[in-house]
Amino acid sequence: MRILTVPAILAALLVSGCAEVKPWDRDLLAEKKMQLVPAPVDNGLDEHIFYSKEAASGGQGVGGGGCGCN
Amino acid sequence: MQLESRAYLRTALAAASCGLLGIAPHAMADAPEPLQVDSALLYYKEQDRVNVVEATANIKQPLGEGEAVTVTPTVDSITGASPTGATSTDKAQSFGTDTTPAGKLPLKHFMDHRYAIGLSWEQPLDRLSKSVLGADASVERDYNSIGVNGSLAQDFNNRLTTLSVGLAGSLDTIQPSGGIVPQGLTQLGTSSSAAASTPTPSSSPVFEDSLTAVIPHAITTASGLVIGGGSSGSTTSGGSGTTGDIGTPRQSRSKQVIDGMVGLTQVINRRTLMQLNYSLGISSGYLTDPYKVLSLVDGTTGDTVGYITELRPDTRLRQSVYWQTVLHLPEDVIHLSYRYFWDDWGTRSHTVDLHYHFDLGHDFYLEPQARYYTQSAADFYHHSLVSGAPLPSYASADYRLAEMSSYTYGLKLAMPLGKDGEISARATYMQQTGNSHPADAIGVQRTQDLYPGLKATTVQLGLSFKL
Amino acid sequence: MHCERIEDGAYWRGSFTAMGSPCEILIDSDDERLANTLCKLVRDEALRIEHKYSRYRVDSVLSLINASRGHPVTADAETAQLLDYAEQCHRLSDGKFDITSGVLRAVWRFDGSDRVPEAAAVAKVLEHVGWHKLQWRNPVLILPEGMELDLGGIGKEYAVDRCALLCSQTAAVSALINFGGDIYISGPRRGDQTWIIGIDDPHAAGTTGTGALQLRRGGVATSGDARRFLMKDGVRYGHILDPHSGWPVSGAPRSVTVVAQTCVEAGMLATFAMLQGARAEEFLREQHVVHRCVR
Repeated sequence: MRILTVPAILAALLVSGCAEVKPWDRDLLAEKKMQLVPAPVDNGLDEHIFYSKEAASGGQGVGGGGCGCN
Repeated sequence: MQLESRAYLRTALAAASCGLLGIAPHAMADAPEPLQVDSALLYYKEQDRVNVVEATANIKQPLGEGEAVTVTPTVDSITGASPTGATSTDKAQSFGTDTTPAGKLPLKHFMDHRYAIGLSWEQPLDRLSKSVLGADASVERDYNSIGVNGSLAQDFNNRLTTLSVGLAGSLDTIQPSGGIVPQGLTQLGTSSSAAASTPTPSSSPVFEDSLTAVIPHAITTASGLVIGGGSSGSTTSGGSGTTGDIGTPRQSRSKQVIDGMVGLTQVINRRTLMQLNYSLGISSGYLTDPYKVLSLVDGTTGDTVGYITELRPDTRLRQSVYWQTVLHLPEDVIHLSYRYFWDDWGTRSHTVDLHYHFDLGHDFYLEPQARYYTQSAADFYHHSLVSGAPLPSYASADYRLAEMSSYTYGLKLAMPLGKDGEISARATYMQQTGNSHPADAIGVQRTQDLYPGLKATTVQLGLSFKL
Repeated sequence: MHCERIEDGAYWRGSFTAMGSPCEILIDSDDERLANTLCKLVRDEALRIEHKYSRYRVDSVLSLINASRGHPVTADAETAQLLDYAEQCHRLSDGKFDITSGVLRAVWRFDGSDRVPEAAAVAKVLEHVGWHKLQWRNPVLILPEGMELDLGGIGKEYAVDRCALLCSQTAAVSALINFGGDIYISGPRRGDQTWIIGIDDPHAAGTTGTGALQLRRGGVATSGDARRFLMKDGVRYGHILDPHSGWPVSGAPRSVTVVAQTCVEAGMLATFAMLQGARAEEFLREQHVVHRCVR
């Protein structure tokens, strides 16, 4: 599928074009504000609102419960 | 040669080591890990429509060595009015006890409470991998859902790369509040036996009459026929218009959803992290909204002459690709994400989301956010149908399936509370707009806003702490 | 002594050499004067312990004991505590940990070559090995002629913990003390952040490590033989010697890293694990310590 070539290229770039990161250089990455989802509660509330108001949903993860709002 | 009995060895060695240094040893058991609570109270208000008050908490108990159990209870209370799918017209319209003035979007009032609980257990499998298993359940007056989910994450490449795989399944049951699941694409005011592909307009247009309230949650003892049908429950017909006989079980439908996801997270450099996910979901069963209708309009004048219940396909295949970057600037952090979504209902959407974390020092921060969302219409979306024309296989006027764009702006302010806590306040504003004057509007419809859009604001208070 | 501010990590770093290793202290503070005070304090204490217990200095307390030729020696309070500790560890390890085993150095030279000593040579030196052959009754020590004490297995970790203690007594800041891989962290950094320690992969020294430890408080010690070994006929001889046989412990991991309440405890657990040979990982799991073994 043509639509997957762009993500596939991105994925390849992701893994190959990366700097050497020593374990002691992971200080910034360990900070709470650097987490992929730094505020899960905010994220959950937003996802619920957007799920109820839009056709699209998900993308970040799976599971989390359904509701009758859509 | 065995060393001394195991437990004793560590204690004795710890005591000896502390004795050497002249300090007091800690209690042998590792200090119990504290309970972490993240909670929030949200107030959501749409202009002229729905209000929601929602309270939720994420309660996590670490069990040592990376294992943890999390419970997430949520309660919400929804009041207000939701669009019925009918469009505004230049005359008043009524649905049961609700009357919509001329030129206004017909809305249906309702009220509901929802109680939900999520449970999850995360467990490291070895130094480089971890699994999460979860379950959730939700109940509201007309909708129940239970689901399970699981995911696995594996680190590679000196823990710079993580591959995740997730799977979730849920079973939802819809029991519309009126007790009846309406037949799809059936005109209101006709009996089920007469549901045909070319509906005849009902005898009287719907303006002044209190219409047979076939929108299930508004069923009253009004005159007129009740739409029934479906595989469960009996078909009622005749003029009494009650919600089925006393003793007839409420009709229900079910829906099954399976979702899968594959994701790659990569540390790019000391300051940058990226994630790329591909998701696939299949929904099957009853996917129609039992409360929604479409307006039937006269092919020449554009006047609303009737209403027809909506019908959606009974399967839906959803896919999305999601990319996120987290970038650490000298003090601040940027979170940027893009999602492309497409499904077999013909919908395509783009979502761009940006959060900027302003670090104000001493654990204070300000976080503005902006989100842009745009979607194309589902294949079977119609703002209204022409009376007398051949019916499509599926049709819905749900504004959420239309071509639409949405902007959301938000701001969050947080400050530390005690040693391990945080208190925050957040407000957002969302605006949805669509095609108010589509090219195929007929006659009177040209004078109407066929997609009034949506404006909503939220205010949220957050509290995090450790016990 | 070199004391500098590391902007990127927001801490002060003091570095010097002692006990044959690069030593550093990281101080989570913006106070330059405090950093200098602590750096000097740590360096002075490290050098004091080195001078007192070094095998290489003829005037060290240790060398004086080793030259006592069987005459009774009265140990000072600090030395007495160390000897008591060595005795306890000897007992707890069923005799595997023995600070009199240092003389085996004479026949075992772990330089990466294949020069494994003859059994007869080892047996001869073994006559001078064995804690039970000396007399220790606090504070008097009688060390028979030909025997030697070697505090190499405790000294560095002890110095780390002592320096940390002095720092805590001087100021309430979080400090990370690292003497050649033996580490102690006195408390969480500002904002309850952890210190992050990289663990080197002994198979490929100098490349990215096998992992990182995030710690708010505690001691970390590594027992390893990346550079000290002998290789003969395809058999690798690690440098940890079994004092009963005089030969290297077979099946020992390449490196063991342990996290414990103090650096001394971590170091001793790591040493005990190495002495267990093939059973190292099992031993550490039984003790419920955070550890990492590399084979």
